[in-house]
Amino acid sequence: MELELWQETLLQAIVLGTPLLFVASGELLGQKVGVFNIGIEGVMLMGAAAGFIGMHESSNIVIGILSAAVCGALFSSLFALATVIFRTNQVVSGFALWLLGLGLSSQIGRGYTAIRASSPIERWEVPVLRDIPIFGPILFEHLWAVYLAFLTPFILWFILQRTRHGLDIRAIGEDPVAADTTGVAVVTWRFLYVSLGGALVGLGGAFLSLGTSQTFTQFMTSGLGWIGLAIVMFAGWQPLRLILGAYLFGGLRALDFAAQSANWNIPSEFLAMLPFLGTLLVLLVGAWRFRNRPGASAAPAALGIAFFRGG
Amino acid sequence: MGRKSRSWKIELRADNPKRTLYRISAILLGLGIALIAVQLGISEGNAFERILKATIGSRKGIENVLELAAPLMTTGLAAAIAIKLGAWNVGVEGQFFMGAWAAAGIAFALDGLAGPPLLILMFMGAIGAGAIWMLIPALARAYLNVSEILTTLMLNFVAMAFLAYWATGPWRDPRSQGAVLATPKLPEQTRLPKLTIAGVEIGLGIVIGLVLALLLTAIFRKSVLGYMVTTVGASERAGAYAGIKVRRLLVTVLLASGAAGGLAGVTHMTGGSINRYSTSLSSNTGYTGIAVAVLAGGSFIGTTAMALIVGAIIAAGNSLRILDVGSELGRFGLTGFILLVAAVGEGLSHYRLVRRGRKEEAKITDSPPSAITSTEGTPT
Repeated sequence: MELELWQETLLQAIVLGTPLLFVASGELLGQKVGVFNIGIEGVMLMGAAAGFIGMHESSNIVIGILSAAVCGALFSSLFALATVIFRTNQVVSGFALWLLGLGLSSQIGRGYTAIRASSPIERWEVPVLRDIPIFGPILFEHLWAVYLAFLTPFILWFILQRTRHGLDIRAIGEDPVAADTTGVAVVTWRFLYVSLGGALVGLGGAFLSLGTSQTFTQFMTSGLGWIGLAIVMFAGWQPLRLILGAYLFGGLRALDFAAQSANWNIPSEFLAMLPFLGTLLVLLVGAWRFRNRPGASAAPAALGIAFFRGG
Repeated sequence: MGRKSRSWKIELRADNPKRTLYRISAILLGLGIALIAVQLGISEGNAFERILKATIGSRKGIENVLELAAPLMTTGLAAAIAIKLGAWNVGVEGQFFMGAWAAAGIAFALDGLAGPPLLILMFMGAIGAGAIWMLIPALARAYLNVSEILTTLMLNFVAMAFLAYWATGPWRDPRSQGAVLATPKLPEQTRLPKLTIAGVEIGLGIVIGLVLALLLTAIFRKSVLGYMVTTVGASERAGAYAGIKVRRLLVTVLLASGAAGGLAGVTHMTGGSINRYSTSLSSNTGYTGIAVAVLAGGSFIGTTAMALIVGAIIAAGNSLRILDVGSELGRFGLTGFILLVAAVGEGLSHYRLVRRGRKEEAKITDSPPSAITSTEGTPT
């Protein structure tokens, strides 16, 4: 079925927002336990490379996806080791992780760059729902990972807000000393959730190399990880709002596509700036709202602060 | 564990004295590990020999290292200025490109001018452009407490797109092809001369970096501004109590950091081998500069030394390209690895072995916390 331009743009917004949704969910999980990982761009690249290699070597998409998640988790646990166990500065370590990811992903993916994915992420057209007029084709004819990404924030929300363990997680991010006093294993959970978040970030990378572009290229994430960080802030650390943020930023990226299709007379470079300018604007507007209320930010209170027992 | 070791235990403490020692040992250890890993990883050939020849083992190698290190010195210094106040200028890359953009614009517009006046205008333009590119992040950090990490980073992507626009549109060089977008060569008179010392060719970029480092050291050690920065860098609250206008200081220092980023751009464009406004002007030089500054512990003189070391690491990585090692592995992978190892090494100083039973007295240490070693949070 031929789609109208606006339908196609919305569809693209969802597709382009999907990796952001994975990445932002992973980052949120880490930030909820108080660890601020600015290196997720590197984790994402590692996921993209590992996912592609896993898929290519096994000709099996499931193995590809799993390798991306495992690689993302392992790579992030390196960061967790530095920041949670050795209490290093999170900005420095995150920055190092990013550089390391840039270099390592390029190196391990070297032999795989000019290959097309033999078994990419398949499209799953949801029966019945896809026949809904107008919206059916926009919402229900996606790669299956798109639906998975959509579900992730709901799972996070349920765990964080509706379970006993979620309360512990939030306590670790808000007041680790108090959490520790009540017997919550702060260091263990921090380590675990930073790694688990890394798995989600890795999936975000694999969605690119196995889903949308179906090939691995060097530095293919081109800043998406960093936008993921901004989406977490945009969402005010609330899982369900990640969905809005991710698709909104996906929409900004989709505008480039729409402009090309419609032959708008705007240089594509300026449209390419939009997601980044949008992020900047979101950060500024968000801060402006809280300007007279210091401490009113929705960020976990212990975000970015190393935990020492008794001080 | 034996019975004897039971009287010892590992203790964790929040302060970490001797952190510099730990960091430097970790860097050396990391370099050693990386060297061994590379030698084990390649199937044939002697990596050591190659690396030595490409870095300090030959005149060409030394020149190569100096050329790679030159832009890292200035971008590193740009990052180090911000670090003095506990701030992160991740936007050096963008300021680098905006500085180059302003300088190239001036050069194209006034190409009738003689070299020296034109160069002075270009440098002034670049410094100004770098500072302006920092204006929004600086104000947002100082007055709205918006993390400068994200704002400066976002502007890097904007600067890259801006560059692509000028290089493909208004200033397009009809002969440039492929992935590298470039404008025509700059007028010949804007090329900075090279010095030759002891038979080794040295670009003016190195000289500019060294002079800037000395200048910054003098300013930060001797002037009132430097005193204020040191105070606020150690404790923002102490600074505020001392009557320092913290916000204004933050804006000033961040703008200076941005200006240095712009300076790095024009220096590399006029003093390096590229000599045009192009996407290939920076191979993530701005980002690597931040790593350099962090590895140097935020010290200005240390930054220049560390730029040479990282330049050598990149040269070493490039020399292995023939052995199926990508240049990215050296440029990013190794830099990131060393940075992480250095951070962990410093983190190790949080731990110490103590004899059980003997109660340690609580000590108050007065080592000034800096952005790098601080375990405090960053504004979000």
